[in-house]
Amino acid sequence: MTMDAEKHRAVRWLAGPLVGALFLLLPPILPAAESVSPEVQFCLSCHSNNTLELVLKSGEKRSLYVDVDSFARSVHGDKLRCTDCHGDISTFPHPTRSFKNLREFTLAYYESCKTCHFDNYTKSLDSVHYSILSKGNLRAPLCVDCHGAHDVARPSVPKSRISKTCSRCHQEVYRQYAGSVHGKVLLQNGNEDAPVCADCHRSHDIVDPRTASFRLRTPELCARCHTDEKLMKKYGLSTKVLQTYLRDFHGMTSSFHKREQIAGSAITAVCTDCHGVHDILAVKDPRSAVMQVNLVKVCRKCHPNATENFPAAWLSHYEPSPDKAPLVYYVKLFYQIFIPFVILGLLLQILLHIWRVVVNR
Amino acid sequence: MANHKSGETPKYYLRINLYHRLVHGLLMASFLGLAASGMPLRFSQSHWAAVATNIIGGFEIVLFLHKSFALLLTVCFLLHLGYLFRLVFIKGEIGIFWGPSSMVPQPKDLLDMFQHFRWFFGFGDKPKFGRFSYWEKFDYWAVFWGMAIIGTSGYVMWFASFFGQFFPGWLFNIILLIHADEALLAVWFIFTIHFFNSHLRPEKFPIDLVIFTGKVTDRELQEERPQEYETLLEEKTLEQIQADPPPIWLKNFGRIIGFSVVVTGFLLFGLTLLAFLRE
Repeated sequence: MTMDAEKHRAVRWLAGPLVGALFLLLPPILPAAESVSPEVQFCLSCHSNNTLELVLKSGEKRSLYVDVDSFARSVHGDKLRCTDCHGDISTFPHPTRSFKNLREFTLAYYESCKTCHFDNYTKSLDSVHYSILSKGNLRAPLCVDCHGAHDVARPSVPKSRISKTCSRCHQEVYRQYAGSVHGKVLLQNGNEDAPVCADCHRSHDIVDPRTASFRLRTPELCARCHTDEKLMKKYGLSTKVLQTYLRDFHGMTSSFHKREQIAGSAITAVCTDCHGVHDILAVKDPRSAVMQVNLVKVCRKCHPNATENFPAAWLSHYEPSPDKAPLVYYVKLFYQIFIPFVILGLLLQILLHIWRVVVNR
Repeated sequence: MANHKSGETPKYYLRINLYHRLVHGLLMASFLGLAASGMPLRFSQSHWAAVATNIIGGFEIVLFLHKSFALLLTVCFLLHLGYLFRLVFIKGEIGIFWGPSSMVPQPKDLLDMFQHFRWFFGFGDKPKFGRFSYWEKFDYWAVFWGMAIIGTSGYVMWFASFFGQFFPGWLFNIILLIHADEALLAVWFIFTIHFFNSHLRPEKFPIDLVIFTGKVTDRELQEERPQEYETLLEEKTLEQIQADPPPIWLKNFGRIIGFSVVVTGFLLFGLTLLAFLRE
């Protein structure tokens, strides 16, 4: 690790006596460090000094202080040694490396994670975050940007922590989410049934949600929870939403598009087109876009000529029955009886005819 | 039936004129096209439908073909209406609306039907059918009615945003249902009842070529249309419709087309029946 001239020299000269002195003082000043390995304690003999820092070529300062308490509390506290991640710094004095700026520093170390977390690392290579990184956007998040470095904790404890992590960059989306039916119950009531960002977008292999394939996957995405009998019963919600959608004009078309993976098929409506995406509201909410009074506005997003009567073409996820959409129900029933009746009746006539010819012979 | 005395060529009479044969050919092609492109959409959840759609090149192409065949059938329907118009208003043949050679059901048809059923059960003789039997009239009106209903509902869905300006939304749900189920009825009717009655009846098995050649033999006319035969004799017009025997190429053409269509029809019937029972 390179340090700019003076600091570098200072550390080198001070190192020997300092290490010795700290070793003597270790137990009293580092109570939390008991759970960390002796090797970590060795490194901490310098790195517990909170004034220790590195000045990069860009003029940015990088603190070299490690809070032993937060490291000890982290998921890695009792498992890893410093050199497991900082494999290039196993000797003292440390080898010389040069970084232009802070981001380059982070980029140099984040790949250490893959030594153990190879599956998640490879997944992240398929993500939209990695894709923008590989195109040269260094602001794309790396492992440590979401998980932290020395203070890595379980990302989903509590569950809301996931969405809060994403909100560090995606502030506007988080604001919408926080006001949505899902966000509210989780953030305000702590109800962990509600989805967080990663439930829909996944965590490591986050794909670009603006693609046609993501759009067309929306119904099955929502259906993961909304067809779960046990879960939906808790909230008095119907589990027929997917089935009824798929039987209707939009659902049929979207299934075709999906099956054939037609690109750029943004023409047919999926769940989020009517219900909203991050700002989704309960259907009982008067502000909900799918509330009867608001529905025609939603239809007009795609059908600009829609009249006030138009939304009636949509059965509102109801299955036709004598109570809901009786006309559809009875017409269907009529054909279910009429078709077999006509065909079987006429077939009987033919069979009688054949029978007579056979008998006459 | 063609069991004539050896060496003797039977006399042939014209039953179906060229215009009707051509319109029927057009009707057959467009109906088969509509059925083959429509049923994979109707039963899109079936495996065979997915395979068929895939082979044709995707559902958008299937839909395009469906609409193309719909236009063809519309042309066919208009050609028929035009023919009727010419017959009534230009030639003044009001007889097509009533009488022995009319397609409109007559009291005799009802009697024929009763007598036919009596004959099935062994009471009485076979009825003396005229130019068109009662089941042939049923065929005609079933197709006429079907074209009107399925065609209209199809166009309403095709131009949904236009019709949406006048029609209430709930009507579209009914229209989709009617289009899909009326079409299923039409497909089953044509591919079972019509095929049986025209080709697979014991008297006609395995194929009746009259729709291709337009001609029937002396014997066929006497046996199947005794009343028409008698009338033609009485009016002394039988000789006017006497025709040359159909050329062999036309008979072979009819056999090839006829068998292919019947086989395709049965296949579609089987597949849609399976899908319907699983619905």
